[in-house]
Amino acid sequence: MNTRCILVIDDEADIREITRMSLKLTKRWEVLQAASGQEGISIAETKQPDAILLDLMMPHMDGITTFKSLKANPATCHIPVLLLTATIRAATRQQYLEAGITEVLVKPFDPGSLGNQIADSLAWS
Amino acid sequence: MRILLIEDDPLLTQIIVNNLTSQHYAVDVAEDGVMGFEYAESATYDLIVMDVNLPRLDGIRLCQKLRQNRYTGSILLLTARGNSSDKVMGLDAGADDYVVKPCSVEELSARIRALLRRQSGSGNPVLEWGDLQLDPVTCQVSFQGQPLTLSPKEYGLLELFLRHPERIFSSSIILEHLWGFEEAPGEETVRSHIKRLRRKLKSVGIDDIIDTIYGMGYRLKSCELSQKTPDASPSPEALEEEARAAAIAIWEQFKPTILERLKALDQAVVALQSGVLPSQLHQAAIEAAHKLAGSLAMFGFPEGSRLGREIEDWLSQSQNNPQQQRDHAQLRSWVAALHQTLEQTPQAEERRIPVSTVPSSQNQERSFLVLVVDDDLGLIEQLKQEGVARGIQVEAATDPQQAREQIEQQVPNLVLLDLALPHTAQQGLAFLEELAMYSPNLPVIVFSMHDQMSDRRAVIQRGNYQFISKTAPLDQVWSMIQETLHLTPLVEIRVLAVDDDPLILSSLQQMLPRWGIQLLTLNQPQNLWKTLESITPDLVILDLQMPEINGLELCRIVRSDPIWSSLPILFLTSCREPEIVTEIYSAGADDYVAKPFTEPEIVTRIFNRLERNRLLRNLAENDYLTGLANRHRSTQELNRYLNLCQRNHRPFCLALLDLDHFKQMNDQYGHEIGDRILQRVAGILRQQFRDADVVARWGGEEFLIGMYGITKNKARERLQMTLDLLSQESFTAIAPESLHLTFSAGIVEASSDRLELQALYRAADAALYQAKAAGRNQIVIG
Repeated sequence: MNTRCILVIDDEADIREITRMSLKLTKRWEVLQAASGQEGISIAETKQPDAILLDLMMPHMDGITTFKSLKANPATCHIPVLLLTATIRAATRQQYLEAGITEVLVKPFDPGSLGNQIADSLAWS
Repeated sequence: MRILLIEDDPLLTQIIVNNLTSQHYAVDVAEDGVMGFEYAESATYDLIVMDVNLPRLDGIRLCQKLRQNRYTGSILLLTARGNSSDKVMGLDAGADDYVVKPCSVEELSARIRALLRRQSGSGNPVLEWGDLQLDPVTCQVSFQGQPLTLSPKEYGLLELFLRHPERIFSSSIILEHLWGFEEAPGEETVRSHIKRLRRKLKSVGIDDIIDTIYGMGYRLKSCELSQKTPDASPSPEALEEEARAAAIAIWEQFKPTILERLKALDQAVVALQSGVLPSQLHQAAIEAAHKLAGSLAMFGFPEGSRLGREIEDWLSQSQNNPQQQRDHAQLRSWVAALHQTLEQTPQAEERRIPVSTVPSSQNQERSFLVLVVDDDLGLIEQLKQEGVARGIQVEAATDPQQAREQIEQQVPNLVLLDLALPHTAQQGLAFLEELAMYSPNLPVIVFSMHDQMSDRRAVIQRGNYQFISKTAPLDQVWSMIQETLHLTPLVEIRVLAVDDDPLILSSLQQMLPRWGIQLLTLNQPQNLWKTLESITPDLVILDLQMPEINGLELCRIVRSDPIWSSLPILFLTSCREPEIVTEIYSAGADDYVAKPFTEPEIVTRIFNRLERNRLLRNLAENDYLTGLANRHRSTQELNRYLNLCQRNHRPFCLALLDLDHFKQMNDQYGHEIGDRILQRVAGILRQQFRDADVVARWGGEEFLIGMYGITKNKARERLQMTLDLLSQESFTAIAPESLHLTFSAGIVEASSDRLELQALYRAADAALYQAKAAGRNQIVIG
């Protein structure tokens, strides 16, 4: 099986690192990191990851704006996006899902099962 | 105070602007949604009043956009009559209130004042009754300058009475106001709190200020001194007078424009008489009628608005209907009547709007105290500052000991606790246990950290708590606080009375508003159908004898439509013959009141009827007992997830849970304890499932859970964890002895041949039945 590649866009370095370790150890996926929406978009364009894990609350360019730019960009619009957020209500999650977000994952996440959660959401075997 | 008005009808704009500027507000006007948005972006407004139907960007989307852009002021929507989906969408989109057009200038400005008052703590006047003062900002009560210590409930009661000096409160209404859905004690609790409040006031020398009105409820005794309104704004009467004078002046100013609009109608009539109504002229006439309907009432011509509406409806229906166009006598008479109406001077408002009661959803400015136990001084400062703007007092303690002292001084309405205090979590947990001992229940929200996943379980076992991540944005913390405190607007009861006798209508109008009932009247029974759809009342009062259509016929017609089959209908009749009474009931009425009637009689009948229909409760979205989503709301959310699961090919599971042998608990310990057990179970469910899952109380001891993105095996794991946790719970904080509870559950996963909620529910119910049959305390996948 090809190694999957995930791009993590989060302004908090700790979260990026936990995510990277967890996906590396549990799934042996390759993990790319971006500290801001803008950086994430350009990495996504050039590296074409299999999925993007995007933090909702970021300074400058928030998750939703980043998501919209990714979807508006022909080079990145096909990449599934998972949103990472602290709390989420049914109605808001439904809004995001209806807007095209693949899944909304809740922080704090369990590093042991994050990979499975992502794989489940993307129907990766 | 600065207000932005976004409205495309220049006439309406002018009326509103005139009215607002006369009240010393600064007003800006934008004509379409896009312009409105730009205005709002470039200046700071305390309030935005906007039409729903705006060119370029409609009001709903504009609302969303403004809220996304962090506009925090109030938004008042002007919606067209009858479009209830607009209202819901508008409120969902972030509007604070709406006014249905056409409305009187009084009503509009009352709503505006209420919204502004709600958002600014400083506009919150000190409430007075003689030498007794209650300051809603500092939550302090004093008599002749001496502070008085009241418990939060006593304070709440006193505030309620002082805020509504005229109004009579029944025990059940007091319960609705002061007790959250989660606590919901019996009416005797109200009695004992009133008693305690009276005793406290008496001890400082205030003679009984609350009258008991036998068989009805309680009311503030009138006090000459309290007559001087503490509010800086003029009295309702003066305000009305002022508004009426303004209406006449405005009318003179705008008469030519209105008459111009009337011309379009005249032209249409002439054209119809000559046999052809060109479609352009037809369209112009519809628009003119629509505008007249929407504005005339504001000038003091409610009849004009009504005629305008009739004309609009007729014209709309007659489009592409030559048959109807030929028969235009009715239209002609309406237009003639409209001309006549406008020849008169604007009449005084027929439907007097009692300013003190109309914006009832804004009147619930209760004051709350939140105690934050945390050593994060920055966070405390932020919460304190924002608390002021939200009308919530925030006090802080940096350790449990300090918190204990604070609580001793004044019991807060809610505690926000950070377990990661310097001296280990163990101390925090012990403190939580202490908090659980408080009676009545003291709600606690616990801050959780990334590394405290395991602590969650420890915390859940100690009582009914909510979690929020420390990293969650402050907005979410607030919304959880507000949700826990049930700071949601109170439901206003809408009653529609149909009677051809204006005297009856006006006496009802005098009686009902002081009970928090908004009365809408209709003296033309033939318009009932349209009115029903546009105002969706909670109850209808019908007169038995009316010209043209009698009440019985109306009642049968209403009952024949499934939508209105459960609408409570109350008859007014001067007949007392048994056969007539029988006929009333067989036509589908719920009850009848004989004329002449007294206030207690009619009010009691209305409340009994509503209570029985549980409308008061179903109108809210949450289950009154547990605070979980109720059936109505969860059905909507479940259907939305079902659509998503189909579209995105993701799994969706529905689980139905039923507590085992719960009836025995009720029998053994009584319903009060039974209810608290249900609340505790609801708390466990809330913790075990994510906010994004649908967790609902479906009725009785049956709960329903909808999980999106999860397969049935995963769902089973989650339920099993919940079942394990529940069976470890001993309910010692609630019941007199330790007791144990389990549940049985059925789970189904949606599939291509099972996508309907009903089918899923039936399958889950069948699986639940299997679980019960197999000995309970287990989960079956269907």
